[in-house]
Amino acid sequence: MALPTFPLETTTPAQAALRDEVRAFLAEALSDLPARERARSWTGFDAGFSRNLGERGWLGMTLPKEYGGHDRSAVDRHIVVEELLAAGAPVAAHWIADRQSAPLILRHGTEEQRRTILPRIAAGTCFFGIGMSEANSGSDLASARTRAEKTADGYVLNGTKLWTTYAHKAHYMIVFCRTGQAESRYGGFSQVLVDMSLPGISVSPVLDIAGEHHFNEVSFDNVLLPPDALLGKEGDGWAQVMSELAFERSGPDRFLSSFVLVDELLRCHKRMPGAAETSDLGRMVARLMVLRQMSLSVAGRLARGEQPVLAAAIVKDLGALFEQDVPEIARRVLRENASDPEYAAVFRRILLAAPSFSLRGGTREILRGIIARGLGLR
Amino acid sequence: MDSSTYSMVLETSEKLFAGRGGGGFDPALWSAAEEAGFPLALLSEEHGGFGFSAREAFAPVRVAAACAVALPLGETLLANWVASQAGLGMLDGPVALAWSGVEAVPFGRHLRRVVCLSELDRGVGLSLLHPAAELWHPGTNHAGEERDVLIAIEPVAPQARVAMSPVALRAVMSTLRTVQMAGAIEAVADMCLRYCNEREQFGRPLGKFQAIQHQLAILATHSCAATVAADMAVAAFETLATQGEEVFIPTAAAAKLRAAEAATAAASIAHQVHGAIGFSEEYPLHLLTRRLWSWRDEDGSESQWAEYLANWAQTQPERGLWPALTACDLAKVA
Repeated sequence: MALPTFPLETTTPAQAALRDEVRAFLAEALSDLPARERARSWTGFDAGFSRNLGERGWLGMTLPKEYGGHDRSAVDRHIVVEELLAAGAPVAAHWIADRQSAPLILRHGTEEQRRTILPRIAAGTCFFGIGMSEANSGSDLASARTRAEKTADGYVLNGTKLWTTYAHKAHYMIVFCRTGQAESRYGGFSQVLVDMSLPGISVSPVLDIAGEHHFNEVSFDNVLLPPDALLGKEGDGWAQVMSELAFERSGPDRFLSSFVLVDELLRCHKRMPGAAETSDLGRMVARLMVLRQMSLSVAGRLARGEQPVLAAAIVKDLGALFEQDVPEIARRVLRENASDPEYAAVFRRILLAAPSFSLRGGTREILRGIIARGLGLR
Repeated sequence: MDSSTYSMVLETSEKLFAGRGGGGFDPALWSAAEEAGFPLALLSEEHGGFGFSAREAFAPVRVAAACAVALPLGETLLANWVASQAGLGMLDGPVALAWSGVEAVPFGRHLRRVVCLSELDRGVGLSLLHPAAELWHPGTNHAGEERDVLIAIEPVAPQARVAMSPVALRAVMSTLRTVQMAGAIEAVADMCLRYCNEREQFGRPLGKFQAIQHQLAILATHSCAATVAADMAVAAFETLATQGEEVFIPTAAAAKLRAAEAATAAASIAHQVHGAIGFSEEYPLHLLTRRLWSWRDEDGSESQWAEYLANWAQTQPERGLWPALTACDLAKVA
């Protein structure tokens, strides 16, 4: 059978020291940030904080030194990311750039793109948006209609992307679009690097169910792109976007989104044990412990240069179930004791964010399709 | 990543156990397992074993479970490990650990000896028993594996002791069930995939229906989680001497609980996708699912280990759960 393997990772003394160093920094840096703000997880935006992380060498960690990176392993990066998320640090500004845009540019970008952009990502001063979904292309990404028409001077980009997190603060978007005639369903696509300051781009907010603004609709109206805006090869867009999604799916952001609520729950529950509640709490802890090791194992495989697509899909599916269960477990455990105002605010934030956990980065149904394909069923 | 010893052990156990499951205790198969050195694999060479790593030593247990072979293999492995910790020397198998009191003893009537455990103020007391056949009150678990109760035993003073907390030893015993569940769940997933690729309804294989594909995908996620859980517990067992009980107990507790949850989900999906044939005695699915339903409760049910973990999570110092979780990470051994 084709089940993926999850070899256990072990931690070196240097990695343990790195974890301690990040933790000590965060204890200091976040001491004034209330839990309700930390509960935003990786949608909390603070450009100053991102720059501070860059100065400490905790962004662009896996990038080569010549591009401003730090030549660290994917496991080292995983440790830093875990600490940031567990603490509820406001990481949204650099999140997309550090997680998926930088590795994409490193792999497919031109030398010029690498030299000009990657050092700024590692410094925590250059932010990215994801240009994949459209109004009529959600899970069915291959139906995307945004098009970059080749001209003598480069490309002309037309179309509209949707659900673009922090497009209103991003310096660049990597836009998945049509560049040619599709000879097959997945053919004729490319990715273009779009400077968000170019004329013809309009960004309008789309509020989420909590009334918060992080999503946007981004329209491109005859945006003139230089020829070097092409990222990777023309026509290779589909393969590139799939490898980009593998980075998007594999990290601890796929099971730690509601960790601040776990912490708050334990803080408020501490002094009132009872059999049914303890069972819920214990199961939650057990699932989290196993998920951490699964996710760490995926990081280890990435560090060895593998592309653990199936393993990443499995971690994301289990991770989203866990994240979404946390508020439900909290309801059962705490019952009437939800009067603590900080707890109540954290709970509401997580409750209202939870539906997105099994949508973003590939819906539960898409992931299960990927797993089924890995099992040889499709 | 895998040592050559590990591959060799795996290959030998697969050769030995494949196609031998489904029946009761088989003395000939037990002798063959003994000849292969499996029951003593955790003992150092000076104690008459092979000095295998825990991962290597538990591999035959996982394979035997996947093959639904009814042997006290892991029981003998652990009884010998505990006996050697206490300086009791090598014990000829089959032999099992049993807490004094009322608990059913795995494969009781087939055992040459029982290592009876009692909780002491500091550590666990051990006494070797040689119960006569008529002292066993026969019983079975849901899978028909012998779980016999020892009756009319006079309390005996411990002959030896191990400097280990009773809950740590319970966690060691639970690790055997975790490993067995991981092996059986993977075998269940394998059986389901083969069946869904072969069985046709409405003119196509079941595995071509999206509803079935998603059920099998869920089964795969649970199988992976159970395997990682078992690997975590075994690795923490391996480093018990260096990382201590503080790391091992919560890790083993979480592993047992998670594998048990996976067992419940796996058995449910497996029976659903198999339809009526999977519910029949002639089809071998129940050999695995009935074992899963038993093992998830043996050596600490989900509720019991959940209570332990909840208490563990709630009694962490001011800095909360997170530092306690990362403190359980496996340290690289130099």
